[in-house]
Amino acid sequence: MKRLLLLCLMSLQLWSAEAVAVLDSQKNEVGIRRGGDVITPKDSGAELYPGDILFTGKEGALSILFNDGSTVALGHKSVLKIDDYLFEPSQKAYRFDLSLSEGSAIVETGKIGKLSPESVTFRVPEGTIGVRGTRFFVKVH
Amino acid sequence: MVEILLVSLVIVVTAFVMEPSGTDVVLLDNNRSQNAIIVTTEGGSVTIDTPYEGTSLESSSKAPSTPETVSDAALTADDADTFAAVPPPPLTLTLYFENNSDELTPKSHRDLNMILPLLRELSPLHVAITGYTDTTGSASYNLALSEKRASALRTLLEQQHVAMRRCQTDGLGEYLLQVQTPDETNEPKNRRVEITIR
Repeated sequence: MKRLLLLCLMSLQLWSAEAVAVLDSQKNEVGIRRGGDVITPKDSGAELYPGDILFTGKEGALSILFNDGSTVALGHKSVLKIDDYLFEPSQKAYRFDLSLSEGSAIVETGKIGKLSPESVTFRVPEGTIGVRGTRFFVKVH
Repeated sequence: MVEILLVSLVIVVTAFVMEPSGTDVVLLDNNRSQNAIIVTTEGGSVTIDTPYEGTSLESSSKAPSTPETVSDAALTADDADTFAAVPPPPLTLTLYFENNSDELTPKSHRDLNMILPLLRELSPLHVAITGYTDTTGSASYNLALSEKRASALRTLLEQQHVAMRRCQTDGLGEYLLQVQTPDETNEPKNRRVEITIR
């Protein structure tokens, strides 16, 4: 149990260490839910971390740029969670797990999609989307 | 792989989808040859490898619908805002290195000097610098060399007073070759860094 706690703490440490993406652009009402807080980013360039939930209002939109060059555009009234993300070429460690519970997204995978497409999972309420080096559109309604 | 995907479906939250629920997934054109998606529910799975073909998911227990072509107009009518939010493609610059070294070739040095005023104009930059090698030498040696190349370029940009908002350097060694060659092949075009500027 202790060891498990330690592991959790260690992973939290890792998570807080380095941003995995930045907010590339935003329009109108957008927010980031991180733990118990909601952050309303002032300008683009806000750093994003695994566990972050991004959401847009009814006129809102945003785009995200991940460390491997993957991009995600999010339309109005959308909710997207960064479940997990890792881009560590020197360790050959890649993870790209996002879930869209509401709204629309356009996803274009970057280097992870070329190097390790099997590491990419995009979840929607009914199922999952896996890729082979890809650009796709999703709408949850 | 599919088993893993199926396990993960159980934890999807559908609580706050109010309208008649469902999800549409459409493959778009990425102007590359490698482009396909595999859409999976507990009921089954479809692969789409033709751009502008889409599938609908009604529920987690039903298989995705047979892929059909979606008109561009239908796509953008409802979701123009999503398409408008897509980041423009980055500006990409490739510079080449001497064999087994983190020194730029004379020509790449000249190219960089030529483009410096433009880079300063665009600054503060959001850049990703990725180093690569050719296939001579071991994979692990090349990974380290490619990281050195990326760092060397970052240092060069800093020395030349190019302001950077965010700079990320990575090395991919002999992965993603620019020119496909067998192992242990000397290839100047593969000894490079790619600078992605947004």
